[in-house]
Amino acid sequence: MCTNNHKNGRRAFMKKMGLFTGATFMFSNMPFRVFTQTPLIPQENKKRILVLIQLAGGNDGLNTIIPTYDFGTYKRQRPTLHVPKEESIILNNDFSIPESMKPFKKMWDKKMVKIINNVGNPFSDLSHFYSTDLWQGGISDRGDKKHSGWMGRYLEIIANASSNSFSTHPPAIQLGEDSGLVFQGDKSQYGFFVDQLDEFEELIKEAELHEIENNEWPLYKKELDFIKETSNNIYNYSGTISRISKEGKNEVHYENNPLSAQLKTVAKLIKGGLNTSIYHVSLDGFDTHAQQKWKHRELLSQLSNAVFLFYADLKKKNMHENVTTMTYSEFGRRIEENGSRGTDHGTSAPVFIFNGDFGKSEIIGEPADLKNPDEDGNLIYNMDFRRVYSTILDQWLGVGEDNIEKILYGKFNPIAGLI
Amino acid sequence: MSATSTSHIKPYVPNENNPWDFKQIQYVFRKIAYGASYETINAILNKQPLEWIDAEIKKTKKQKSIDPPKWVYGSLKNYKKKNGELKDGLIEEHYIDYCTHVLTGIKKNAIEGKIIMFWANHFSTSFWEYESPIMLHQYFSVLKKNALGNFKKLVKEIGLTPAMLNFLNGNENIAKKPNENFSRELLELFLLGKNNGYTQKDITELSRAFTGWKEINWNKVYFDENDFDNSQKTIFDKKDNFNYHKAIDLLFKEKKEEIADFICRKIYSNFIHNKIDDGFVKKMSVVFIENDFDLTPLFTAVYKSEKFHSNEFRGTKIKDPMELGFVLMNELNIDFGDKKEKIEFIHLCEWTGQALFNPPNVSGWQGGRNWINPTKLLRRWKMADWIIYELTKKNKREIFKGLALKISKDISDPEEITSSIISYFDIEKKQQQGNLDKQVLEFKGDWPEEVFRTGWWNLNREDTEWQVAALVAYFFHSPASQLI
Repeated sequence: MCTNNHKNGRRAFMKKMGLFTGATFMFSNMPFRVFTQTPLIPQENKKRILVLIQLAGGNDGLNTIIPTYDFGTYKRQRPTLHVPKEESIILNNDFSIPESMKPFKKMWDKKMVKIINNVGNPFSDLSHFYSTDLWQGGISDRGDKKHSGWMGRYLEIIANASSNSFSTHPPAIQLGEDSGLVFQGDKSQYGFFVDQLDEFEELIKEAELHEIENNEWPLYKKELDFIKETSNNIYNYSGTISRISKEGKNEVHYENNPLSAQLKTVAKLIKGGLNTSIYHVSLDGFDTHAQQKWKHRELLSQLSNAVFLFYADLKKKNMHENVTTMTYSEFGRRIEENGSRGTDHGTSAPVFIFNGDFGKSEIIGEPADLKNPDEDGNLIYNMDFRRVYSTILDQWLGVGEDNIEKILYGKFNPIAGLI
Repeated sequence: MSATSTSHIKPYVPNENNPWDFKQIQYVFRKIAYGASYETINAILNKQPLEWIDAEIKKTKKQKSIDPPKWVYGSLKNYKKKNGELKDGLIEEHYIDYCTHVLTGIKKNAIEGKIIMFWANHFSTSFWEYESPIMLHQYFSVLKKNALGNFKKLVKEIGLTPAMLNFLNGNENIAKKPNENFSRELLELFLLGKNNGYTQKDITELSRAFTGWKEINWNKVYFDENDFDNSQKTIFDKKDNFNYHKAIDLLFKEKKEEIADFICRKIYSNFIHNKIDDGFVKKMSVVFIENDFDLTPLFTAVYKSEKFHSNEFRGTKIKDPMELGFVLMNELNIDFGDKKEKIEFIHLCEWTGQALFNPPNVSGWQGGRNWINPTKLLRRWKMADWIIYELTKKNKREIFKGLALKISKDISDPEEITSSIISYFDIEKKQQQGNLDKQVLEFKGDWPEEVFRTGWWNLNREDTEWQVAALVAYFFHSPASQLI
């Protein structure tokens, strides 16, 4: 089977159907009353926006940020899969990136990139679904806390703190693949799903307000109310989104792939003046059990180009410093390659954080020890992922210490001077 | 086959609170199949429900399947040009062709179809990952053959389909370096559930037992001894030189209760309600194990149970796109006119989030609320519009008037007609007055009020089919229409 061929085959097929929409898998449901502004955000002129990029499937961290500090072990463990020195770009004495990530090097040189090394979860697990829940939930053990996400809990604190003032701007927006637990609060789902912007014009015409009422069967009511809430949110937000999508202009030429399409939409909404503070986008395909080389290269190229162009677009309106972007993936991959020229599920991996101007680019945290893996042959993390979340909440979203502790179910020291 | 034991599960007995009436039969049809027409439901009113279910299952199992397209018997070479490259567009063409074949089959034998689609979402593979219509056929055939057969056999056969071997890299799992993708998902998603009594070591050892199986030319699976790990493995503390079949036998021996419980939970949440009743699932597991994992006794017991027929679960499941379309079609009693319409239907399913045989990942569609978001809701409304207006374009418009004439007691009272039509499609028992007022306005359309007051208007007048169609379309934009 030729892997090169299949994504194109699908795209051609979708195009033929006239339905190519990037990606369409999502859900959303939000409280009908929301908030006009976020009181926890420090009062300053520029609005602070966070974009989360999910690298779904488990990104191979070792072939993303190449461990030149122990190239010997790396190469020995990956005879066919290691990225050779001549095909990589040096970041510093210890690390380099594959050539396919060239746009990242440009951003690195412009002081826009922070890389946090070897980030993991103490309860890390090799299952996609379990690990995704942990990352999106911002929890270490799924237990009984499985039903909410770290951004959902954050937004709920804001919603509770603000007056019941009516807003026509959604608090959070999700595009592409399902954002899962991320925006799930204890009470409501805060991520409004946006796919094709031009559909919102039609949605305004069709949407109706529904009264949420008591029904004969309690179980029936739950599902019915969920659909009514979705309908009401459409009624509530469609006008704004439709108007803003006409005001916001993309000023660079994006590539034609799902992640680019999603970030293009995000840029349009941000530049058009939408008051939404959190966005979630995704790139799928990182579960590279076989024939990884080409697939992974292509994914990294799509990722770095999309992010690069996204910031270039924002810069045209001088908004590139208002937006911080963070990548995450459910896990990294096994150090040793498998027999199918791929890699099996692993543990820790680096996290990327971008902003229009950090003052400097850097790699933070201890490098992973390739020579001393765990019993399954996986990396042992040395940065708890919740410290990264804590840093974002503290240094970017301006959340107070007490609330961070509530959101993350515990105290996790922010990484000093990250943002 | 061992004797069917259903004694553990309390069967449904019609009673005052839960009579075997039109709405009940309609609800059962939406669950065991994809809805039914007014006539079909009426014909069952006088039947004894448990006997009727037995008869339906017997019938569904005996029904002859329709012939697949001829190309399914080909191989990879049929898709290649002389220079070895793949022919342009043939894979896509055959994929769509096969989906239309599947739709025809499901329309014809919906009870079996419902269960096949359930298994397709349990043993998930994504067509656009393995990209072979021939593999799709072999995969689908195994699901169909074993849909109401033996679960153990289904597991063994599905794991050795070219589609699964490609999708979860079984064909690249070799002694020298095992690939654990399939063995992990087999335990986590297909048989036991996450963290249910196995370790990472079990996964690794299981992968070794599964080595050596290959797919060639899209249509053949063979065992390559040279790539098989011909040595001792330790699975669940049992030591032996396990191979594929022996290892799966061991799984079913050592983890019998866990497997039965896991599968019964999935069936319960899909066919009854997503909030599991542990006590009921336990009883299901007993039936499943007593019958050595035969699926017919299990499904029969579930379909005949009091639980399954309980009206507390009515309207608690959000339709998947295929259910949304098919139930509407069947309750209107219309079929596809030609293949083009089937293709359009397949596109609409994809557009609303259910690209047939292409779930987003190996855990399948999560269903329920995941089918709904603003964009998808809009598209679901458009899917219903398409069925109501487009699919009835060719001389089928009279079905609307016909239906209204059948179900309404009065042919000149717009309120009575509206209420009858809404109650026919809505699973909810009580009509809300506020909604009814709006629906009546929708039904009256542009007619001035006098025509109704004076008695000039009645259902038999010309053009009333448009009024009925508009009302049905209006209802299918409402939240209640999204529920089974």
